[in-house]
Parts: sequence; structure tokens; C-alpha cells
Amino acid sequence: MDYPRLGREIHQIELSSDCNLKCPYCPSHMLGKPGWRGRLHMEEGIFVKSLEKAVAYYRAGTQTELWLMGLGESLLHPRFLEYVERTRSALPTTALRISTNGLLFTEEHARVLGQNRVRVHISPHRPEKAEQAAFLARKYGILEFVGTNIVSDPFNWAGLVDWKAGKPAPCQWLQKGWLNILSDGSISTCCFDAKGVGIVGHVNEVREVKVKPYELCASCNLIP
Amino acid sequence: MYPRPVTHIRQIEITSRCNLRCVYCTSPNLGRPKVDMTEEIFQKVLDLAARWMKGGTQDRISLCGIGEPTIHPQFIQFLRLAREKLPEGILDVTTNGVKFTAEMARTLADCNIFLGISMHRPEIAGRAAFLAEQYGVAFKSHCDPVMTPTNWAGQVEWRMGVEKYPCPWLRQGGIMVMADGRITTCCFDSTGEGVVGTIDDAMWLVKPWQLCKTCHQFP
Repeated sequence: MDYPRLGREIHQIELSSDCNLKCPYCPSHMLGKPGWRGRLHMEEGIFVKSLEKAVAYYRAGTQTELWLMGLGESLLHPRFLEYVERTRSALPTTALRISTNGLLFTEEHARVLGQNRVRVHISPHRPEKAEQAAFLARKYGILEFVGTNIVSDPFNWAGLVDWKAGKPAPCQWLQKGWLNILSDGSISTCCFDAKGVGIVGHVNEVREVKVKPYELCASCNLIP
Repeated sequence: MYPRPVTHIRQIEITSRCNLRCVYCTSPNLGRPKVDMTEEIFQKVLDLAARWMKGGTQDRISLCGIGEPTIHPQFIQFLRLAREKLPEGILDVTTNGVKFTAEMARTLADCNIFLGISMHRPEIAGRAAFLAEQYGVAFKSHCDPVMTPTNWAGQVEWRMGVEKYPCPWLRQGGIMVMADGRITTCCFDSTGEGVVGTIDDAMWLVKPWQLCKTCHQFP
């Protein structure tokens, strides 16, 4: 496949790069340390610009799916539900999804996510907490997946963590021109980009964004 | 319909001890002794299962109950014994993975024993799954407390997230041999109140007992 390719979709908006767990198979707990990205909630100005980017792709007909998540736990963002509603208003027919560890998930979350047609993936890193979230998501008809894949279909974040490497597969991010807007507004080509080295733009820039393989691809199971 | 004769052993609880304290499990507050099954009892149970397999009423058996089997000091030896005495049996065991080792994985593969891996702690269960895969063990990981939650017939404070269905234990005459050699009609029996005898008895009959009233599996 030829690179660089034009970006075609904002596939993720990382509302927060902070997390309330420290799982050894995830690089999230490294964020904030030297050489890694910072831990922060997305500011409103960055969020507005992020939505504008997604809307532009939506109008162009290439924005089909958006995850309101990144390396952190999105529910930690103090304005999470408000941002969900604003995203749905801006993108009325885009498939919206979140993934959560469920620790903070309440009935109010389930209700608002349901109203806004957001599908929910739950990662049971702590089963004793995740069950309540799964129950509520089921109750409101928004549960799409309870992920046990960290065990059944593992990956090591392109070598960033000490975990079993994933099986080779095509990289949909690069091949489909997916973009990941990080919590500080920078745009990465990759969902594994915990160090911010795959940056190809920023939401405050107006130029078109292009994607291409970057240094993490050399150690990744996903093939450009 | 009841009482019915016992026709097979569904589970051998090789230990009733556990190295986790999960809030959705009866194990932390087990109302019966936390002990390891002796080799003598285990041999008797296997002899009985072998007879029933020969007789055609038994084809599979799980080597676990309310407890973590891998912490039994003779776990590996018990796996080999089970395969030796039940050469045609479909055998399985479930672990939380905390004490799972390469030697266990190798033995499970040698003995063709299926491994269930409970994801109580994914960071631990994952390591067990990778070892199992490395040694060619047939295995499946699961997270039942989230996917198919139960409250153990009201014994723990947890959600009942599964539909009611007929109890295969009572209806088919299945039993669990507990770690101390007593026989119960029920895999949820954390108190021993469903006991219908011991492994040294000549026969056993099963019938509904008090926990059936609060259980999602009906007699």
C-alpha cells in the first residue's frame, strides 16, 4: 500500500489520557512519566476543534465511526456526558462508541449514552466492578461487547508493554486513514501511540492530514 | 422424580482452599473445612468414576469445586492419576492462574485435560493463558461473574443475571465429591448441608435441598 495517504476519519477522540487503573498490560500507567505523553483531560477548545474535524470528514462522507476514548478512561473526564451529547448533535448518523473499565459507570451514564445511541464496550479488568456496568449497559440496550481479549486475543502495544505480542493483521488505522485525536489536541495515526511519536498534525491546524507508517510500526503486529 | 440414584460424578473438589477472595464467590466465607483432598480419597473417587464410565453413565469429569485446584500440593500428580484411571474420560480443570506453572501446562497437555481460565485478575489469567497456549493445552478463558453472573443461590451478594433452567445435577443424578470426601448433590454447596453421604458409602440418592428454593436451577 502506498503512503502517505489522506486521513479519512477521526476514529478516536481521547477525552482523557488519565486512567483510574494501572494494568500491567497497558501503557496508560506510564503516561505522565518522562518520554511518555501527559495525563490530562481534553480542554473544551480542543474538543470543539476535534468535533469540527470529525464533522468535516462526516460532510465528506468518510466519517462512519467515532470512539470517544483513547489511552485513558473517558469517564474520568468531568464533562464526559456533556461531550457525548455534543458529539451526537454534531454527528447525527455516525456510529459512536466508548470503551470503559466500568469503575465509574452509573445509571445516568447508561441513560445518557442510550439516549445518544452510543454503544458500549466494557473491559472487565476488575470483574467485581465491571459487572454493574455490564448490567446497566444491558438494561439500556447499549452493551456491545464485554472484552476479555487481553487474555484471549492479546497484544503488547507494539512492544510498549511486557505482554504477549498480537497476531499479525492488517493495520486498519493506516490502511483506512483513521486518525486519533489525543487529549492535548495533537493528531496521531495510531491508537498505540503512548509516547506521542506518531503525530501528524494538530486540531488547531487547517491543513489536510496524511498518514504513513512511523517508528512504532516496526515493532507492531499490525501490518501497514 | 426424587429421590433419584446417583449416576455420575460431575466434579471432584481436589481442594476447598483458594488463594483469592473474590466478592462474588462463596469461597472466602466457606462454611465447611478448607482442606486438600487426600490421595486415598482421590483414588477412591477415580475408581468410582471409572466404574461409571465403564457402565456408560459417565463420560466427563471436572477436577475442581469451590477452591483453586493448582494450590493442591499434589496437583500435577492428581492430573496424571486422573488420566491414568480414566483413559477415555473427558477431563477438565479450571484455574484462576495465580499459581499456574509451565510444568502444570506441560502435564495438562500430556494428559489431554482441558483448562478453563477464570479472569478474576486478567493480568494473572493472561500469563496462564499464554503458558497454556505455549504448551498446546486446549483452554478457554472466561469472566463468568460479568458475563453470566449468579449469586450462588443467594449465598453471595451478587447479581442474578442468568435465566432459570432445569438443574442438570439433580435431574441427571450428578454429584460433587467435596475435598473431605463427603458427597453433595450441588456445586453451590458451600456449607455441606447438601451432603448425601461419603465416598465410602455404597450408594447415594439425590433430591432437592434447601438451596434449591433460592437457586436459578430448578429441580
